[in-house]
Amino acid sequence: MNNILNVFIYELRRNIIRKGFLFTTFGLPLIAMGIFFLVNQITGGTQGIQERFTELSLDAEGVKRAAYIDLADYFETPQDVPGATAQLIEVDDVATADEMLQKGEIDVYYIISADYMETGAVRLVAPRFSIGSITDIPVQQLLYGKLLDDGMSLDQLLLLANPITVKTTYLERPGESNGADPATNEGTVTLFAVILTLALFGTNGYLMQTIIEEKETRLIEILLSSVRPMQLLVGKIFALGLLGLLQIGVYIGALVLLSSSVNGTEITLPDVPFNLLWWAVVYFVLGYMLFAAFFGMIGAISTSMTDGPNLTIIFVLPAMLPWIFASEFAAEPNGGLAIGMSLFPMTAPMAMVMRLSIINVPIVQIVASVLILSVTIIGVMWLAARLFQVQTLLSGRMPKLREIPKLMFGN
Amino acid sequence: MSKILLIARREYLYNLKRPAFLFAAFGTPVIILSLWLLVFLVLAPQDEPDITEFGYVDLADIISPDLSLPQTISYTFIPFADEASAMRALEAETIGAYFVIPPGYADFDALAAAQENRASLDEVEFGQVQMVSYGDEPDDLIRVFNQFLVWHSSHQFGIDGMVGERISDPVEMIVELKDTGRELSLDALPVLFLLPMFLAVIFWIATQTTSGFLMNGLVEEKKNRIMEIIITTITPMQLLMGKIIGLGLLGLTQMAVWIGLVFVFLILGPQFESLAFLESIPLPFDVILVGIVYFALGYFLSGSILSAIGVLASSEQQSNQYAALVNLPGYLIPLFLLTEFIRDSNSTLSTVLSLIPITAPVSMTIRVGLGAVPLWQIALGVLLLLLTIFVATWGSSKVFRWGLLLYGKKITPREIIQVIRGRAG
Repeated sequence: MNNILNVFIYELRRNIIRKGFLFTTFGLPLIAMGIFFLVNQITGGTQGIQERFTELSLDAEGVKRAAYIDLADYFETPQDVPGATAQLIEVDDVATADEMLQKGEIDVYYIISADYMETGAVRLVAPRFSIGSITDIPVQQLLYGKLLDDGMSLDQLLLLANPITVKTTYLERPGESNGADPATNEGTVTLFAVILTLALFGTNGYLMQTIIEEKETRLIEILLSSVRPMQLLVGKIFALGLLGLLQIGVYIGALVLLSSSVNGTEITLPDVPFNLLWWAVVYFVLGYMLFAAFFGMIGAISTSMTDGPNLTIIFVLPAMLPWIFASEFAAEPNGGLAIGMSLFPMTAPMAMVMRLSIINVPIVQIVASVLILSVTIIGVMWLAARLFQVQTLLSGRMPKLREIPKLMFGN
Repeated sequence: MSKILLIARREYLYNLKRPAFLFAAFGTPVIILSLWLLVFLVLAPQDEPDITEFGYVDLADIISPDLSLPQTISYTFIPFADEASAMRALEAETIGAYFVIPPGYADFDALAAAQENRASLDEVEFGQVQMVSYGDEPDDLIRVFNQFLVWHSSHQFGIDGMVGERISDPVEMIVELKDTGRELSLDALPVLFLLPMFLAVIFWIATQTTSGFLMNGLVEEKKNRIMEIIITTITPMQLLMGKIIGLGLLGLTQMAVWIGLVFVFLILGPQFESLAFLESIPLPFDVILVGIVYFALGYFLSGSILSAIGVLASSEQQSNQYAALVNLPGYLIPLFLLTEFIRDSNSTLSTVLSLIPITAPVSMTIRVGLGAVPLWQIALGVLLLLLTIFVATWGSSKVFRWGLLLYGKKITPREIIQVIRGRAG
């Protein structure tokens, strides 16, 4: 027990100052927040209803002067349109427009096709790729100008130009839903999936990395002279698990900070039902333990950092499977696929949390899945411990697939 | 020459059969692709909505039931006198969802008053509707209902529905770029700078894998003293060239597999109805061609630098760090300056970046995608890369020969420079 504690403290100390860990824990959220603020600055947050129905947004940015060829024969010489910035000139044919483009008299020109009113088809001809000048605003200016000239009111125009705002109320089918807002739960599930992925790739990756590193540097030979392999494995799993939780804590903290400091954007922390949260934590811990054991196994048999990480995808992909089938889950949360995946240990953490977020899963199924998962964890841990022994750890090469059972069970 | 080929063949075949390589080159992309195909095939039939009738309660008096509507409004909307009857129909599942159009939906006076009083979003009914459903309505329902409302509102305002539709969705634009002669729909434009980045990612992965093999191989051979046996029969230069060529081909194999699979995906994908959108993704072949040539040259450049480092590195872990250090700037600098390329792909900075050998692969590929690059610049870039590869290989071979049998010595940069200039050893 004392040895486990020693390993635990040693791993904690060593990994917490690791550059990779510090970067993913603190650097990534900082970068993400930076990008978020930058984007928020550029896009200026969300548009309120006040501005939406007050004026047309007709700033054509990079296009100051543009020509158009009106094959639909619909538009007239453009009049002053409120808010418009581009100056428009009608020309008769492509040759004239090309010439003006060459001389630099216009920035771009538009060819309005003959069936414009039915299809909206317009061809923009620009001299080169440039973000500011690739815009359809001048055509909108033509259209809105023409309609305003024809006597349409600005209010009517604005009502049609802006898509409807829809307030949605979701009903529950009797006995099926768990009563939470589907959008909120989708957020919870996404958050859970991201956190689980990070824990699987990140924390367990470190676990494997430290084992491989110790093998590479032969440090393991010294360690094994004073600690039993099983103690080493358990100490590592707990230490890195704690670091993983710290990392997640920082991420969630950053999210809270973000949601409280940004006004006018629609980031709010999901109001998670307690039941779901509780099971999410249970499944997270169980999932972490299961995959930690798997990664420990890979660490025990790999000899270099080039081979080990490649093998982990065998375990990580199945864990992500339920997320890939998300729409299937949403459509049939009690279908065969959903139930099967929520019982199968490798997919259970993600699958069960997804199901719990949509419906009230029968308690029998939850208990069964937790039981199966726990038994599997014990089994895999035991197997990992069998692999995590002097013979494998000190061997200089990677065992072949058919040698692995022999290593686990002896002769 | 035959010895170089021998080494190249050995490195290629030996590493090709490594589980780690097989998995990275074939396993991962095949798994990812087949998963996606599976998902699309399994879920495709469900995309067809089983219910196409939806209800509405028109409190704004804006719907004219007799108005004839175009085919593009693909759902049937049924009027209900009040919300209670709509709710009953929803509960009986004769309709999939219902909308309530509030009295103030098109009330211009109320809007003016609200704007006067600076009312909040929640207090204004203008342009808003309410939807009630079980959460399983089709994804495009709101878009179609918007179109439905546009036709009816237009009718109310005394204009043709077609005109109304143009107001709400004014332009379906195709962009023609004069300098490159490219023609793209507005939605496909991002492909021009996403494709080079996609290529960059693939090349990055391939380079990391193979340069890892290159350096680890060297470190390993030094560690277990095989190196001493190898160089009794061949010269260090032959060993170096053989390794770079063999592993370079390995990297190219990996990239060919990945790019090939993406092509298969893009070509076969549209056969399935749910993947039809793939057809509209344009594939600018000039970008792919320039990309492959430049990235292949880029690999040989980093390969020749890394082999010198690999022979001096004392552990595999150390060598991996160096590999990232050598390869990173060439990818990071152009990606950080992506906005500059988008702003003007022929500016001085963009041009210089695409000629400097280290940043050339990513930069030139981005530039070719975005604008017309003069042919002489492309040729000059290739020439400069070749020249640098030549110099780097020459320098590396000196370091390589010197460091091949050097064990446990702490090496300073000054010593390396001296070796390259031929004053040590």
